[in-house]
Amino acid sequence: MRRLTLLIVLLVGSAVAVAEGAGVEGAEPNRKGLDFFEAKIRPMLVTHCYECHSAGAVGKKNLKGGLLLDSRDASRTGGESGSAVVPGKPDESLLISALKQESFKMPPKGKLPDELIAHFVKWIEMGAPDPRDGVTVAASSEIDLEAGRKHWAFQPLAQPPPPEVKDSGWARTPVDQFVRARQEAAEVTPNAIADASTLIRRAYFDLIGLPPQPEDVESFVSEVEKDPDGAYGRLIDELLNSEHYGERWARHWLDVTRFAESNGYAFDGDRPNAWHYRDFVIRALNSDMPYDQFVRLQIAGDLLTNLDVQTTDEAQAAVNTIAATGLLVAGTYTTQQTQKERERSRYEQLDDIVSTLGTSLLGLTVGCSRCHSHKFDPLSQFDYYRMASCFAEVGFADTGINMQPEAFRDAKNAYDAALAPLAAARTKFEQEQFSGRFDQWIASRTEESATSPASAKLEAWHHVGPFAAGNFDAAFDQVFPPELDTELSQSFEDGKLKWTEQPEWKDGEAHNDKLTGTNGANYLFRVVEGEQPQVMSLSLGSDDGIKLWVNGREVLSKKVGRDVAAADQETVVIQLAAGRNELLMKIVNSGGATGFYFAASAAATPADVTAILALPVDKRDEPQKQKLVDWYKGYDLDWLRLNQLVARQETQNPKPDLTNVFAARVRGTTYQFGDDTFKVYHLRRGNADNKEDEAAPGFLQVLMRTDQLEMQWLADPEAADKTRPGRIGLADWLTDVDRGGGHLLARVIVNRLWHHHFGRGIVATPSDFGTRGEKPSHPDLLDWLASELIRGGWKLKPIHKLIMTSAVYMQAGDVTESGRQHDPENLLLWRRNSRRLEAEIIRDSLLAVSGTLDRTMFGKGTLDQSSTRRSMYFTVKRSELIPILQLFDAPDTMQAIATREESTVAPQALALLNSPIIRDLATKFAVQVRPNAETSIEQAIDRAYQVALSRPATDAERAAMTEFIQRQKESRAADADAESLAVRDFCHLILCMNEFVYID
Amino acid sequence: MQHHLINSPTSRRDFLQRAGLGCGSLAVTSLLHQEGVIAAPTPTNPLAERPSHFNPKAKAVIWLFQTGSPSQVDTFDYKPELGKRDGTDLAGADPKTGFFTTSGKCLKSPFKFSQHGESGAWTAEIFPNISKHADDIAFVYSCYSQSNNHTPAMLEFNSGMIRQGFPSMGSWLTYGLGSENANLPAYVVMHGTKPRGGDPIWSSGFLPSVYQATSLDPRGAKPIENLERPAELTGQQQRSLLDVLNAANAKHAERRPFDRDLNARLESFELAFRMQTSAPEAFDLAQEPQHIQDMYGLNRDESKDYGRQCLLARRMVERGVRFVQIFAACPNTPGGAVSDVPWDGHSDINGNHRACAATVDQPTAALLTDLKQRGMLDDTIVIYGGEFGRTSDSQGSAGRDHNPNAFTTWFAGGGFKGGTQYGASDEFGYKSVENRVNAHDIHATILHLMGIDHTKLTYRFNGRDFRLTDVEGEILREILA
Repeated sequence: MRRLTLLIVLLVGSAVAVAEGAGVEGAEPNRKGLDFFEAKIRPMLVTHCYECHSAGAVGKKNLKGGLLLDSRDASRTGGESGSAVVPGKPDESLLISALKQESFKMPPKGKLPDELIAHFVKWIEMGAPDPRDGVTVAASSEIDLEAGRKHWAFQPLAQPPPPEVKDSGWARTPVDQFVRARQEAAEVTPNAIADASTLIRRAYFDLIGLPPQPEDVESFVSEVEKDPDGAYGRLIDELLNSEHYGERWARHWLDVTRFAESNGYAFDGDRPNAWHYRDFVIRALNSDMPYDQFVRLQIAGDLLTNLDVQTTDEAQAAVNTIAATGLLVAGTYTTQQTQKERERSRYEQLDDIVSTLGTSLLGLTVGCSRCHSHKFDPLSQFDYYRMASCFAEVGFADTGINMQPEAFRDAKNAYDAALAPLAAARTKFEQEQFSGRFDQWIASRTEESATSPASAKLEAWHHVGPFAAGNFDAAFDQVFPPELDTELSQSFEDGKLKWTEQPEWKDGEAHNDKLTGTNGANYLFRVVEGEQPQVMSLSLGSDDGIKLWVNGREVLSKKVGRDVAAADQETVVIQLAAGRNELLMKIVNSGGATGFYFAASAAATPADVTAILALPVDKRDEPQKQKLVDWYKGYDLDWLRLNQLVARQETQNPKPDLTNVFAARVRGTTYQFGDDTFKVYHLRRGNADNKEDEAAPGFLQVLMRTDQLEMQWLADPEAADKTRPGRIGLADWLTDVDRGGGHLLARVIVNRLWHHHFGRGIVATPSDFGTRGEKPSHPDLLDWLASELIRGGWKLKPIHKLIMTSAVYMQAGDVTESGRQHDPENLLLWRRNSRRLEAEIIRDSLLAVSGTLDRTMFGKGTLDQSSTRRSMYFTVKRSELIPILQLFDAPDTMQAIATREESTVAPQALALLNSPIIRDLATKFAVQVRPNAETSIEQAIDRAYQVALSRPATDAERAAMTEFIQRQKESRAADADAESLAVRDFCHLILCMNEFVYID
Repeated sequence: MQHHLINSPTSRRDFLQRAGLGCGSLAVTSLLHQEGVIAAPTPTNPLAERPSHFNPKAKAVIWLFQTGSPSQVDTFDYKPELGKRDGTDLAGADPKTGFFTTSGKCLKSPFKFSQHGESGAWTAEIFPNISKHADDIAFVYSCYSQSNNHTPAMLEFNSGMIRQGFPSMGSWLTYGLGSENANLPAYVVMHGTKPRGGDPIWSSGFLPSVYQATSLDPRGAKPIENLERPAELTGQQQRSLLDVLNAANAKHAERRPFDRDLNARLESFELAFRMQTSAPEAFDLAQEPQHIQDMYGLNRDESKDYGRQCLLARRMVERGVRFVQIFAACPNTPGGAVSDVPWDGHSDINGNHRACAATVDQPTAALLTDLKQRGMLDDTIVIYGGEFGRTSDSQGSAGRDHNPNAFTTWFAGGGFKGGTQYGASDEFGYKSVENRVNAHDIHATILHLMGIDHTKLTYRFNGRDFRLTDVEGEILREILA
């Protein structure tokens, strides 16, 4: 009976809806309505309804009540019980009564909060705007989120206490308790602490990527004897405070974020201001910026930056925060595009961003759900496009920041102060004198025939120049003294440049042999005496650029390049007043010959002015009156003099000292393909030709632990019905430990630290924490470290110290019998593995030991391979990667790299043996260890071992190397330099040694 | 070496259990080596020769890449109908097919076509020498690519993907099969002017960099970097340095028996020392008799650069190099092309293609003849083709624009059936219509002939098992012997 009643109600309801709803439905749903749907309604439907009411449910034979809620038409048609959504009629929409639990009790897991139901009511009142045409998007229904959340990485952080261990003597920190407990269970005995010289070498390379000086080793060794624990702790603090720490660890982060400074692809255009991102990372690490803040800035720094900076400090901070978004725009970008490729390329660009963020921050292969929902992890294609949608408006740009705002403000104030009286004088003149003079001009205006040549006397040219500048543009733009004051008695540049009269420079002839100067400017000045106000036409020529002022007013400015000056290259009509008129011409040359052309002829008053003059006075409208006044100004020499003072002062308007930063910008540069350029759609099979609905910002549902979904991060706390930019919401969600992705974010970064300290992460796949990645070898330790990170305010340096002061880090590399037997792979960390240095560190070490390392930090990089700065300051140009770094497995920067390959191949050996660069460094190294013949060979050998290997040579080594040097010397018996060449061979040998590049 | 093949035992066991999810049998073999189930050859050398999935037909590949894209209808895909309709509207023409805008009017080929060999293949008059090999060649007339832009299309033909960052076929093969000659690189690229897109075209992508190509410009004085000793050292002095170095390294390694890379590094210095002799020998064309040099066209200005590339390719394959890719070095590129895309005849097909053919025809034919007379053609694959085709309608009055919808690639040797013709474009050569073939299909076929199942050669990167052929690839069985 109940069912029948409902049916009747619904039938009536539908009829009414059709009758009344036409207005609602017929109109295109407006933007606001669709936004509301995307923000409030779709996520609810997806999470609470699709499981039983979508195409996905059909596929899983889970469809309930024959009702589909995953398309507009289906929800209006309804299921077995009738229409679920009646636009404009919440009371008649079965969906609402079901949510209110008045008809059905939906969702079955429990009633939604009233405010969420209110959203549905409001939506239906709005006419139920719904963009979901036709086939529905494969939403999260195909992913079992509840099951997905059971994967270890998606679980909240466990809060395990460090386990008790039997062997309490070994453990130095809670980290060791976790490690030792597993070793004890496996009956594996770890190593004791390594000796002091090994420890200092290990710590130096790990934290700053440079070898310790022999003196550092010596003093550390002696301090350890006095105070073993204290000395080591101080060493770690000292290294963490070294500014080289940021350089060393920034390089690790730049691998993960595929940092480069060029576009890639065929033309590989440079991004000359992209290095700011590299410097941001170094500074952030050196200042121990909390990691959550570090992440937030990289996702949304441009949105959080106030560009209207007031102080130098604010300017530096703005450079930093905006540069942080270099992460988003570091991917490849092709400048050569055919029309057809642009939209596809845009989705590639968005994929680069989403994939990079997914792997680098969350250790999730989000990019795998671009064409279909992830095959292995609970990441839906629906979530993928919602994540991409957060970046829908992201393009790139060079943003200029005023680096000296105080100085600029002072200069600007001084300028304004100087300008004000001049401008005031002109205004006063206009107010007091103008109307009378104007009337007088009108009254006395003889009908000067437009065609009859009026009387004007062109006097001889005066010339001064050339004034030199750094380049053509500067020569054109720079205001040289003659522009500020045309007093002809002046001289310039200590009297080298003087005004000289040039009576021979006739009008109507091209003068291509009179002027000189490269990247320079020549000025020509002349007086024109006019008997009456008149217009004059000028034919001008210039090689190259030209500017012309008449009575201090600029009437022509043309920055061009030309082979020769000739007539009619430019024509301009000027006004001459009665009396003394001044013409100033600037000719700017880039190189080679330079010259000018000038000829005057009579001209007509412009037609638009004549037309206004012809009107009766009371018929002239305001713009016409103003135009006439402006025209008159050209005839009033008194006004022109006052105006000239203003104009000259205006040339002194100070320009801010801008630093350009390559970073993300809302609606910045990207592939353009019309209206959809800054929109993201759900794409079937990832194909831009198969668009479905427009995607709204959203995040990974598997990493949301409350029913409110993304609105809790996207809602604007200050305006209930507004949302914040998707990127801000994304950053908040990512760093939200309790409800969002923060716990995974913390796990991933502490694992990266562990990975770089041990050569292998607790999770051996640092960018894949999904079900296909490795499981953590010490899950409790990972969670404990992640919790420590969060507890310590997301600061990384304390985590470094915690790890490095643990016995597991400090232990020696010996092989123990129990270890060999039970854990040959050393998964339980019972010994320290030897590790090869990375490409940059190998090169930096070569520079350091040869005494040539330039420690200058920050700033623009270089492609010059002979640079002696640290390798991370090489410009990363995708098509010109530095060969020696490539050889030792530096990344190719096309995609994010979590774990560098470590190849061992012959070309590396060839480079070390034969490259002139290496031989040259060996030569310099030899000079370091044996500056003169007074240093004995034995001393040189000892010094070389200490500098390069941080230890003295053993007796056997000293003997073998002495013999080697002797043999190499004898083989060059005829050569006067035999001995120093032999020492050079020895130093070359040291640089090739395994011990030089493998750190214990 | 830290790629996924060498991971923890627990994970490896997991991995084996999950092998059905797409883990390659090669990888499995390698894992079994790791587990000690099968004796590993040299676990520390990533370039050690590895067994193929099944018996290979071919040992080596020489890919003659015709950069800039030759026009199919002016080379090997004869279209008399186009000649008849010269100047008339091309039915179904899309003026946006190419990089610029085309006229929509049919442009007849400026070249005469004739049939050759028992197979009767049609070829244009500009290939008098290649034509003699008609019965050695399998022509595929129905190729297509995704992009109408040089660089992405070249990326697609090399790596299967139109964007950068994915490994090229040569890298995949080196990863799959290792190196046959320890003294030479396994994968060599030769170019004149670098093709548009440069090094990323032959990138090893996410594969370990040991699998990357050694690229060289044979016109230069030093084809391989760092092969020459420093002037301050004689061979004996360097040998003596190396002996003492080896002793020091061996002592260092002895105390660290668990750090296997140390031994690999020791070996790498010895190999480097040997390469100083073996590599220059491979590059020394003076060892070739005059008649061979002349056959490759080294005595003609137009063909000497490309001829040197072809002759070097043969010498390298003889010495065990597995994969040689040549980007045709053409000294003259008139007709709208520039030297990084020589076949790009946008404004004048006649002038451009005559000049390019004068470069490549003789050396290409010489390579086929030479491989055959040495008995090498049977197990050496020769591939010839560009990154896309050209439009059947004209660009301007006499040029042709890019056309990704139809072009010809041909294959010889190494298990291909000579004298066959496969697939077809429409009657104007504008679109491939029958048995369409893309880069994945070609890659699948080449891997197959090299003894590799393209669905099983995988590499785990950022959590996904990647294949050269992505999720596609049909082996072109009809043109295999």
